[in-house]
Amino acid sequence: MHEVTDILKNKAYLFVSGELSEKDRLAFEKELETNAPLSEMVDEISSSLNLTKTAFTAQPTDTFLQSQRLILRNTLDSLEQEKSPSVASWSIRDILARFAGARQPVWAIAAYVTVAFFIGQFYFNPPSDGLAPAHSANPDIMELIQAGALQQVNIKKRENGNGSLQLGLRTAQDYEVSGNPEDDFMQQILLYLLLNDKNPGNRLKAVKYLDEVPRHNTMKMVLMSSIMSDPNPGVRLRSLKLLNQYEVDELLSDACLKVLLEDENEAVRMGALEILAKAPLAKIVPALQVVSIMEVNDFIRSRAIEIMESIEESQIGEKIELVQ
Amino acid sequence: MDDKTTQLIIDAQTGYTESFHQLVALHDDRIMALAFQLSKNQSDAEDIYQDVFVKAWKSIKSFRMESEFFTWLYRITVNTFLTHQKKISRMNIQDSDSDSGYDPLDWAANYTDENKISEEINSSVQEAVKALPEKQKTAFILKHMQHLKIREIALIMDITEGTVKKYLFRAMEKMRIQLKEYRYA
Repeated sequence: MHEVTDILKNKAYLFVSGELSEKDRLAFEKELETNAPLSEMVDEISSSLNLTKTAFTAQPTDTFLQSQRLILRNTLDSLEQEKSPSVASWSIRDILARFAGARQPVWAIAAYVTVAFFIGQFYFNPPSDGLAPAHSANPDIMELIQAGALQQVNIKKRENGNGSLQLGLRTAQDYEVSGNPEDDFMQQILLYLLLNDKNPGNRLKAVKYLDEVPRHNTMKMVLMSSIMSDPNPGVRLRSLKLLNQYEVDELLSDACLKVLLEDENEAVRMGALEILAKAPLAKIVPALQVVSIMEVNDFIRSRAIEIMESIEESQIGEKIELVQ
Repeated sequence: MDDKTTQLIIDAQTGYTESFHQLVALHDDRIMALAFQLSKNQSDAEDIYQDVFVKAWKSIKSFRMESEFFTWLYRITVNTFLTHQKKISRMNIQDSDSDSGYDPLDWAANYTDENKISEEINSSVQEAVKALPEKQKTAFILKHMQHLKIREIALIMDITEGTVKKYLFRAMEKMRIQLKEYRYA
């Protein structure tokens, strides 16, 4: 009469779990042929383990995981902000290093490409011999930056004879340039100041005067960079207002989602939400769910719920149309 | 570890959060499933998930590529769960399964409850697993629900393979007795 010892029971369990070595498995299989109680024990263990397989089949849904990832993103960004200086104080090398080395989402890559390209265009072209003379009608912006002439700028608005806006820039070194906001070089200076000037007043003026400039993609990218990184909420808010005049594409939508989830200023978060509301896509729902629960401002929370509901209604509408 | 994961780890170690978020997206379904299997409670699972990845981010520089990345994450998950359980028992908090608000249909995909019998079996299995001592339960879940090798479980739990086998064997003996009546259902 065969009996099942604890050692054999242990081996039976390891056999069912696929954890016996080849040699032990062959020996165990031989034992099974002649030991009926052991064979019964193996069946029992297999059957018990099969029950556990069906009891834990639940897998988290993508939507659920997405909302958890957004909460995590928010937490990690807060931790990073606590220990590092603001993004606006990054050196150009840092920005370029981020652009070159990191795996970023599409919007971040695009923003850094633009920022890096824009700044790189000023910094990495061969220097020229001298600075353009003051009052030049078309000064070389590269030279102004290389000479450090745009470090302490005083922006002044002037009216010219025909009523159009003229901007005058006087620098610490007493260089002076002037022109219309529509002029290419003046636009470049305004975009440069928005991204780089340490004085928030100048950044505010820059974004204000950019309102006079025809909308174009480079400006959009710089404005996106501004809403994600400018330390001044007023500048971020003005940049959002300008961005509200652009068509909401995936890039802008992603940038606004980031602002909505991470910006510390309620008005700025509200501005980002209003841009998202212009093109309420299904993919923003997980973020809106997070906002509808975690946002401290009642108005933003209810607005997020409203937008979610409108997305759901439009999806139902689409389904009905499909059925019909 | 594949090249993509290795590169993401290197990037994350140099401080790029986006690379870390990509690592999260590659592994978090398994971490969330494990957190839920261990805690049996959605709210606790969410807390464990967040704690695990915050700890992982803070200590990613100490990851030396000597083990699989998921093994390292599992180790953090198990430790976080055990710490969490200790806190709960210190605070003498009652088991909150019944009022956790957990609704598998909200939270999970592929949840199969075809009929009352399978529901009853599932519930009995979950009760049986829950009744196991923490370390036996952890070893059992890692082996039979996360399908890891004993060698990997030993690394994750920081114990010898012999101890893992002992835990698994004891857990299996208890499960076999508890589930006797459903065995051939």
